[in-house]
Amino acid sequence: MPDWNEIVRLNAASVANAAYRIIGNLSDAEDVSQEVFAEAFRKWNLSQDQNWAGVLKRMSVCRAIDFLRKQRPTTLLPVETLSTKSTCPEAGAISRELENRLRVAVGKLPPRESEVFCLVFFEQLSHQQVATELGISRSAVAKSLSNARTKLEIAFREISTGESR
Amino acid sequence: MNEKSNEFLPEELSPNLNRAIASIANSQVPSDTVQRIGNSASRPVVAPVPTKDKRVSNKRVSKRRSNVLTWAFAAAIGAVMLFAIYPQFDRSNDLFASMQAYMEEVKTIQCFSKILDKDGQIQTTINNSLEDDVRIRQEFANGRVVIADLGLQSMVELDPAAKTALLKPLYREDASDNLFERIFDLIRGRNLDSAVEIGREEVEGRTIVEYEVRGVNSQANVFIDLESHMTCRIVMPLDDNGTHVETSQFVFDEPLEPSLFMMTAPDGYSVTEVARTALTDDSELVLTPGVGLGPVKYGFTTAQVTALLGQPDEIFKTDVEFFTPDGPVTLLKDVMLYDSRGFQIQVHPKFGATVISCFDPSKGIAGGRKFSGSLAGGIRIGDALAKVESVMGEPYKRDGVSAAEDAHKGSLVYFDESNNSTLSVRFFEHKVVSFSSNGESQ
Repeated sequence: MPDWNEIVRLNAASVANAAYRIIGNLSDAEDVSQEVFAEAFRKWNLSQDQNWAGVLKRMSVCRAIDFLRKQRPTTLLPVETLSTKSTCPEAGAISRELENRLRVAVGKLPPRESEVFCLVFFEQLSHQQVATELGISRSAVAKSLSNARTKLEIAFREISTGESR
Repeated sequence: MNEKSNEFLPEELSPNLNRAIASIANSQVPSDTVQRIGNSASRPVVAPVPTKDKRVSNKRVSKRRSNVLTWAFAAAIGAVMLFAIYPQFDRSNDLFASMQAYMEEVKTIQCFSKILDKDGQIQTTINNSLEDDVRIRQEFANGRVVIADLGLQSMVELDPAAKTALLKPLYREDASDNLFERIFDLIRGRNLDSAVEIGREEVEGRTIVEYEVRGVNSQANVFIDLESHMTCRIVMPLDDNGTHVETSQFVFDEPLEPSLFMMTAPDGYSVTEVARTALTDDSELVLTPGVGLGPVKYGFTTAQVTALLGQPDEIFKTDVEFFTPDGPVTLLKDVMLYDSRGFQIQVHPKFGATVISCFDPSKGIAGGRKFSGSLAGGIRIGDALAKVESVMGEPYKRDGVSAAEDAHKGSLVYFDESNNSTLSVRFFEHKVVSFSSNGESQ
C-alpha cells in the first residue's frame, strides 16, 4: 500500500511547478497545489494503483486552468516572477510580459485545448503520455494542440498588430 | 523547446510565442515553497463526513414534511398558472440545454451522413466518427474510398479498381471551418448563436422537436428526441440549389470499428505519398481575369506553370465538355492542384492554362490552405459580398444572390467583353469563398 506522505514528498515539486507555470503567481500556485493534494487525498483510497505522478500533475494543470479562468487580469509584482534568468532587466520585463500574455490567452482556450497545451508545452509530456493521462487518442491530442497553437498564434498576432497601430 | 511538442506541427511557432512558452516551461517554484506545500499536504484537513448522530425528533420531521408538501403544492399551482397565463412559454430551450449538457459527457460519436441534391438523390455517403477528433470515411459510388483523420491532418484515397492508394497531408489552419467539424459541433450544440424551435413531429411514437440553429459557421436544422433529449437528425444546407447534408444514425460512446478508419493501404496496393509542403507566401499573387495568376498567363503549359509556381500537390486528369457549333466536344485536361496554397490551374493539352480557380479548401474533407493572394481589385478570400459589389460593380449574372443583405450563398458572374473572359466569385455566409476565371475565348 503506498504511503501518502511519500506520494506528497515525491510529487510536491511537480504539482507546484505545474500550477505556478500556468498561474504565474507563487501564492496562488501554492493554494492550488494544496487544493490538489487535499482533493487527491479524499479520492486516493478509491484506487491505490494510480500513476500518482501523472494524476497529480494533470489535476494541478486542470485546477490551475480553472483558477486562471476565474481570475481577472492582474499585473504581477516583479518579486513574484521567478522565471527570468536573463541578466538584462529589459529582456526580463519583455519575458514577463510575454508570459502574462500567454497565460491570459491559455485561459481563454477551451478546457481540453488548454489542458493539452499546458501538458505538452509547459510540462513537456509527449503526445502519447498526454493521450494516456487524458484517456483520449493520440490524434485527439494532436488536434487539440494544433487548434490551441493556431488560436494562440492568432492571439499573439493580434497583440502585435494592435501594438503596431 | 522539446522536440516532442513539435509532433504533427508542420510549422514553427512564432518567435514571441516560442519565447513565452520557453520562459514559462523553464520556471520553477523555490524549494521552500515546495517544502511548505509538502508539509501541509502530508496532513490534509478533510471536511468531516456528516454522521447520523444528529437525529431530529419525529415531530420536527413531520413538520418539515408538511412544509415540503405545502411548498410543492404551491409550486405546482404556480407552474399551472404560468402555462395558463403565458401560453407562449415553452420549455424547448430547456430541452436544447439538456441535450448540450448531456453531449458534454459523451466522448465518442459515430454517425452516418448523406449528401443529397434537391431531388433527394444520394450523391455521396459518409461515415463519421469522433473521439474528440474527427475521422471520416467517405465512400463513392464507383468504389473509391477516402479516409481522413482531421486530428492527424492526413488522409488516404483508396481506389480498389486500380489498386492504388494516395496518402496526402491535410492543411487545416482553421478547423472550425471544416464541414465535418461543424456537423459535430451541431451534434453537441456547440459554437451556436441561437437555437429556435420551429416545429414538432411524431416519428414512430416519439416526439421529435425541430430547431433552427445558427452559429458563426453554420446554419442547420437540428432534430432532438423529446424523450431521450438526444440529437437524432441534422440537416445542413450546402448551397441554394437544394443540396444538403443529412446526418443521422447516431451511436454514442461505443467503440469504433478500427478497420473503417485504417490510414494504411491494403496489401497489394501501389502507394503514392504526397509530402507536406511548407507554407508559401502567395500574398502578392493576383488573379487577373483574362490575363492569369501572377507570373502565369493563360495559355501556359504545365511545365511553364511548374517552373513559375512550383510543383503542384497533385496533377489529375479531368473531362471537360465544350459546346461548339458542331456539337459538344469532350476534352481531357490536366488539373494542377495546389491544395496547400489554395488554387488550381486547368491546363489543356493544346490551349494551355485555361481556367484558374482560387479558393479556401479548408472547408472540404481534403482540407488545404486558404489562397492568400487576391483578385484584381484587391478582393481576397473571406472578404464581404458588399466589398465585391462595391469594387467590381454590377455583375453580368447573379446565382442565388438576390440582394446584398439577404445573400447567404451563391455567386456573382462578371463578363469582360474586351477579352471575352468570365469571372465567377462564389460566396458562403456573405463572404467570398472562391473566385475562378478563364482566359480569352476559353
